Amino acid sequence: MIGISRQSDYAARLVLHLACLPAGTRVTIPEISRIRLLPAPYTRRIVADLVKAGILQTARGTGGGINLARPASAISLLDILEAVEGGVVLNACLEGGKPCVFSQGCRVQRAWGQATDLLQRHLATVTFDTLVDDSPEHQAAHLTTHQAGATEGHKASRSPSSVS
Amino acid sequence: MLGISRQTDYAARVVLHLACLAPEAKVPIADIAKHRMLPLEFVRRIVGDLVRAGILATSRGSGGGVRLARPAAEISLGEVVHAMEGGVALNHCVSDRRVCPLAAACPVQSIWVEATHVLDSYLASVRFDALAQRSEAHQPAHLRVQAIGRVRGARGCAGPKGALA
Repeated sequence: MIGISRQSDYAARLVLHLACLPAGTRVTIPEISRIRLLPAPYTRRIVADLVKAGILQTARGTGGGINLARPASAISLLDILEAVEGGVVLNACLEGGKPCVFSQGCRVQRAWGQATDLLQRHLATVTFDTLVDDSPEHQAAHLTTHQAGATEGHKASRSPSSVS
Repeated sequence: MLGISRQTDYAARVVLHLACLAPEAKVPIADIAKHRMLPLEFVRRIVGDLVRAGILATSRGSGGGVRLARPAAEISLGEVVHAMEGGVALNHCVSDRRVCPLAAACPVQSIWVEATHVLDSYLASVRFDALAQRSEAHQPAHLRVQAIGRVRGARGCAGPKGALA
């Protein structure tokens, strides 16, 4: 199956969580792991990738934690994939370094390239401010799940009512 | 990295190889493996998957081999991806919303669905007759590689002169 990794799924939820809070809000990694039901060591690794990519910022000490390094409107879903997966490249022949000897004029390579472009362009248009704006129904779903408690097989996010 | 598997890459080359030949042309699997520089066992497995998906047909006996089960114009890159990867579903919540109780109203889930659709529709629009059209730039690459023989790191395809795109 062509798809994103579990890490990217979690990273998107993590950034969405921060994007839903008032600008500049800082939360701790254990808190975000608890609320989004993510294993804390896993979250730490994802946070490190996102910090390296300039998407998140960390602060130590009392009142420390993580926050978005730039406005949610300046963070796209493509940014997340690039930070966590190293990017979207549908076929190995599109990567630099080890080009296929037949790549010149290869129409299949061109098709993989166009599909990659299409997907990249689409994901680049999705910024986290719009994901937050889109969330009133989601809020209701969260509250329902929250009241019902952790559901089995629930890999998503249980969050306080302030979070979408 | 978000991408197709090696199998899908090879499967596309196998189908392309057949699409480049005369309609209905039948070739032994070993021929494709040799021309496309792919490991024979790997090609056998890939052909098995493509036959099950109705993309290729095989026949036994002398003069037997593998051929396209239908015209190249009716085979899309998307079908090959589906046959090999089981489909395109950018996130697990796309193929089965039940994996996440919040999926019904999740703002990110609908984005993964949309992006999956964008990719899927594009791949479905790419037909092998178009891919097989000879490209003047591609032909010399094949001939060059054929002339030098097996090239290290070549994951591609070397075909009989003039017969391949």
